Amino acid sequence: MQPDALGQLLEQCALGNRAAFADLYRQTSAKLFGVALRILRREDWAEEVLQESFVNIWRHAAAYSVYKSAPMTWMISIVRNRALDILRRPGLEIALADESLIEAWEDSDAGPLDRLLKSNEAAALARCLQQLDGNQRQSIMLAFYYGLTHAELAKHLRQPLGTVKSWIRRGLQRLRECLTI
Amino acid sequence: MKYANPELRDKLAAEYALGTLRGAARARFRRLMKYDPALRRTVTEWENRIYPMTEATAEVEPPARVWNAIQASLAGTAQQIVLGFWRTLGLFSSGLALALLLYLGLAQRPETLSYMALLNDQKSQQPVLMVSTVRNSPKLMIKVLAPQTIAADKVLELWALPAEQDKPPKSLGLFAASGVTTLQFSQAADQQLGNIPALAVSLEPKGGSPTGLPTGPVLYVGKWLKM
Repeated sequence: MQPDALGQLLEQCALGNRAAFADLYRQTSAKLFGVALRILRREDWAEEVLQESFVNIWRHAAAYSVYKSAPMTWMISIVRNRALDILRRPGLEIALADESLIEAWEDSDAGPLDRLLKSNEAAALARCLQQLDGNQRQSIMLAFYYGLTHAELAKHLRQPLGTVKSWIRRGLQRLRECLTI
Repeated sequence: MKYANPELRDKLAAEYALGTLRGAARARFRRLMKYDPALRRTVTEWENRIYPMTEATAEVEPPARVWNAIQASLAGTAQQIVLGFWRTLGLFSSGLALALLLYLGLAQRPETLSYMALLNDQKSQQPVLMVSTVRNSPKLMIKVLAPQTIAADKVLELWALPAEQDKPPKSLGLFAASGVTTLQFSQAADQQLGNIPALAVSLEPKGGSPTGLPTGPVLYVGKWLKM
């Protein structure tokens, strides 16, 4: 999927072109649904988030160009933010990712990191993630993919809250330094 | 206010992008961002850094009912909101002076400009639009020289007139009634439009011509000139 082509579709959406919007949906909805599903782990909520997000994408397509990001980044931001908002709902109980899934993340060669290393768009980020300490990498990736809070991470990793917070903070700092080079 | 501390701003922006900034703090941060473009940019920078992680997320085809629900909730959304936004960008004032400036600006590097058309309003005969291509670029740029007011349920559509009389015009796309719109082609735009004698703009229902041919009045016309 070419960023330029998606940007063009967004520009056409900003002008009210419904055919371009349908095309945009066809090209991006599976990825965005995957993102919402991973965070929410419930199909009905993920469907709700996808629906609201695309309505917002359509309504705010004209504002897209103001943000200096790739079209996909802009759309993912909308979906992630809606999904994280839903996680705030009072009295919400979501089954956390099961232990085996989390354990798989502890091995730097397994799963998502491996996939990132093979992707063109994410290779630089993957190399920088690889350079982090295992604890930093694991907490950042769990927080990102599953929308876990500091407290949930601490509980899952059986570590004090302060420790997890500092893993994330230092990990993010190192990521930035690594990506700047 | 402690949000003035650059380190804290960066830390909160990073955690907002990562998703670990939550609850009331997330809502407060989002409100701040609305009125603080620099903070919004810092968040965008973090999103650009870490969102590539999404490459590892599996794609899942959503059920058809999601698209149906989106279409239902969009039925009747107002085009004027969209066009209103473009107007507020207010990049261009109006008139010939600007057209001249643009032309001079472009004339400084004439080797890059390959085709250009100045489209005149059919009634006033004043130039309204400048459409141009750059050599070997897939982009077609449309600059509105004098912002146009169009009905809320209408949209402007650009057409390439056919080289032969008996062929239909070809739609190039929709564009904003003010500011700049860039249309992207799959190959170099100047090559695809090499044989076009003129460009025209018609007024169409929102969403563009339903038939693939101009249905509304032709508002602006201009010759497509090789530079």
